[in-house]
Amino acid sequence: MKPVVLDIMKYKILIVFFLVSIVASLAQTKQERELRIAEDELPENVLQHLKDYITSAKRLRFYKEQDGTKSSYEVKFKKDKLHYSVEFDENGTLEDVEFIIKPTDIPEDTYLSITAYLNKTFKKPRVKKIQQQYLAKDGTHKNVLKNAFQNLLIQQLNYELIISSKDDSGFNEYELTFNAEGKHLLTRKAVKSKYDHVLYP
Amino acid sequence: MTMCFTHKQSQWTLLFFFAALTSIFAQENLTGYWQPSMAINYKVTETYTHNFSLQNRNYTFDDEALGLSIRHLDFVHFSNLQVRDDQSMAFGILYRIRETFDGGANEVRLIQQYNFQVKPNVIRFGHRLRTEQRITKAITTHRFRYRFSLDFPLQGEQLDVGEPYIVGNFENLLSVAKETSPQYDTRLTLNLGWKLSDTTKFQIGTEYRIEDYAQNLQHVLFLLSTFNISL
Repeated sequence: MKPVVLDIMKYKILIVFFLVSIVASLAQTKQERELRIAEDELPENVLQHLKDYITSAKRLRFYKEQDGTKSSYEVKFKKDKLHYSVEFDENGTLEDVEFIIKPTDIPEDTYLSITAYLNKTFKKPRVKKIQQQYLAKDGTHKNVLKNAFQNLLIQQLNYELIISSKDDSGFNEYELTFNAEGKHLLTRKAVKSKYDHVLYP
Repeated sequence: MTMCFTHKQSQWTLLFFFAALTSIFAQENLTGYWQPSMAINYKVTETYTHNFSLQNRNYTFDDEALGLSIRHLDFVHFSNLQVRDDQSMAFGILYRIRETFDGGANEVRLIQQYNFQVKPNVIRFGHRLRTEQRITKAITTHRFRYRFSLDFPLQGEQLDVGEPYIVGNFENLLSVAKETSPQYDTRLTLNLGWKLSDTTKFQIGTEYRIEDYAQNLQHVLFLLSTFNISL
């Protein structure tokens, strides 16, 4: 009987050791992270801004992004078949409204100018996602929200594209911003996510 | 509230595990295994990567008896070429040492695979087509596999360090060999993983296999644990 008891003890110690090491490694969280949060964790005025627009929204979700000491909030939902994302700073001040669109939703001349830039700058670019963006700095909060939710093609809007392209460092993703006329404003390289844990069992 | 949300998700996962377990233990022809593995992935060039892994399979439940004995040890290598941002091709070789452990045949396996992934939103979907030649002294078996996978983070929309994720697989297999009837198998896998650091991940999970369901039905249950390093 004794050796069996000892064996069980040994297993228990191993399991405890194993769990402790997992918890210890989980505690070493890095500073930059994005989390899904509950409604009551949002700054007070966030939902106040959006109350007229989210009544018929589906898949309403809230996120918090933390980058060092700076944090921001994002409200995501689906409304009238469009996927919206509304971003606020840490005090609950509106930053921008974005929704996913298709190339055909962009005026032809603008899209031609965007694709011309992509083909000139990148090797074999492939557009993965396009968002129409309304920045808060371009008007009062009320107006920005109104324009965005009416899907108005105003001069101040931007287009944000996620593309993939092959260059000297392999396949990479980029986030590009263009203005309403298709003029390039900004390019940022996105972080690649590793797929190895799914590829090989 | 956040805690409640993740708690609720874990409850569903647990319920799924237990539902699967109870239905399986009610069956005859059941074999249970524990399969720990360790894998390392690294870049050779920007589009070409290597994968080396070591795994071993242990009997935990066989012929209605509980125990722990080694069945085999696998050494695996994959050479992976990314052909597009969402597509890759890989060639692999596996060497299985079994004779030493339970007297079964040692095996050399050649593997060819094509992988396609798509991420319309938060969930990433993957399709994998694989062909294999399982070579033992006595027989060569050709195997054709298709696997559908999905994976997604459990906290937010992107997987940050310290966060858990889910990977689910559904795979169908056809094995053919000379002078034997074709064998059809189905595998269902559910893994819960953690991104421990930018280069390491740990997964635990379970796999349920329905083997040779057209001829001689066998149920196999796996407890899986994987430590994955991506440099």
